[in-house]
Amino acid sequence: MSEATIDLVGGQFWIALALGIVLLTPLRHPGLRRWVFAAVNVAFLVLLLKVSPLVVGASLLITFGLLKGVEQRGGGVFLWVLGVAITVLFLIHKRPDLGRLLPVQVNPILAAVSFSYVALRLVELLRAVSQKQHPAPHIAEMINYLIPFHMLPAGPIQSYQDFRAAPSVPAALSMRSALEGTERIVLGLFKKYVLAYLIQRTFLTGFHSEGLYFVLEMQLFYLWLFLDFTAYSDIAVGAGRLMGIETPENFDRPLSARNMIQFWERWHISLSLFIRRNLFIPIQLGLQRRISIHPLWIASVAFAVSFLLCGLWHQLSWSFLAWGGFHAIGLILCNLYANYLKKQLKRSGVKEYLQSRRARVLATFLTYQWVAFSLVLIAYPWNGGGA
Amino acid sequence: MRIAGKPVPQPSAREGEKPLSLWELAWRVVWMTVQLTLVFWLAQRGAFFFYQGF
Repeated sequence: MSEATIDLVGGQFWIALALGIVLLTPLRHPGLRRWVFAAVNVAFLVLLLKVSPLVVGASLLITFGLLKGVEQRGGGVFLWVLGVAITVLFLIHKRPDLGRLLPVQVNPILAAVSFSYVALRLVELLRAVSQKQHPAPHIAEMINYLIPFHMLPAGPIQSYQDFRAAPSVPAALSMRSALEGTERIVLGLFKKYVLAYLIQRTFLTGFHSEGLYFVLEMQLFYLWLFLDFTAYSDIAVGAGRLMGIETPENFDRPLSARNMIQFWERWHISLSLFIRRNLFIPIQLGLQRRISIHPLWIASVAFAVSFLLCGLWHQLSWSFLAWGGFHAIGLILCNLYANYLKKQLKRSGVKEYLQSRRARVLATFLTYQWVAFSLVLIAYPWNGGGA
Repeated sequence: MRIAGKPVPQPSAREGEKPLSLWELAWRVVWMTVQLTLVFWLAQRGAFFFYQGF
């Protein structure tokens, strides 16, 4: 957890949202909507980064040109250029010491746009275009997919497939939709600036605590992160609803997940699906074709590689690598245990086990503790500093 | 709008969506106001603590 992302207290986000609602709500022409939303997204970046619109425009045009090249040449040199550019920018973003070697300081820009998320969207887009699943998008579409201003702070990472499938003209904004959208935004603000803030101020010490208080802090840190992170998601979903831009839900009651597989189906859902699409399944299929070992072992390797990389995506550090590894162990154990239960209890026994209230309470408790401990790995002041 | 005596469903109306009663609207607005009041009250006391993103 290193860089500050988009400041919701700053006016840019709210100006862009107001513009988006006022300009998009009456528009029923798909092409015009696309361009207007793209203009709002670019205007937001210009306001946020305080750079010339020419710089933003040129960066987007270069990306668009490279994507077109990937489409026309079926990959080749353009795919390599874009792939290397994403990797280099990602490394600079995660290791500011590398960025300092450059003549132009790009770190503040990469941090401001939360490049981790933009990079994943670019990967999705590159994969779709290079594998000919979809044609290269129209430039306005590319802008709206890569840098939707309301999803920049903390996702979600919409899949390119879902983005393409979204209706180009949404249903007219009803009174109920407007109310629900506003409620989500207000709830997000309340969760972030009241609930999460009070927990942080009242209880959290950055894990400088000891004994029983450390255990309590572990529980509350997880709750704090949940409130803070889901707050961004609430604001993004609410903003999307008000503007008529499809914005996927990113959380589904993760605190009550009863195992680690279920946890990842409920926490940061868009990242979890990205990992499944782009890491887990390709690794699993690749290994199945090459090695003849038990599918459970193959799945275990796929979990391990996917979640170690997931840890490094969050931050290039030993603590995040350990966090990813700890989650991978949880997922592997869960998968092995599920397989064991199926063999031992058969279908009716498994059904009974899943319905058992005692088993559910214990499993939910253990899952909560597993996740809470994993967060200690990344937030504990290993070098004596703050979390 | 009616065609051949039947109402044409509006694109904004979702299936099974009940119209909002004034009472429901009022309490939801009040709850939002309470939440926002707390947000701004804490903000005035310098409460903003920023999420450190990835």
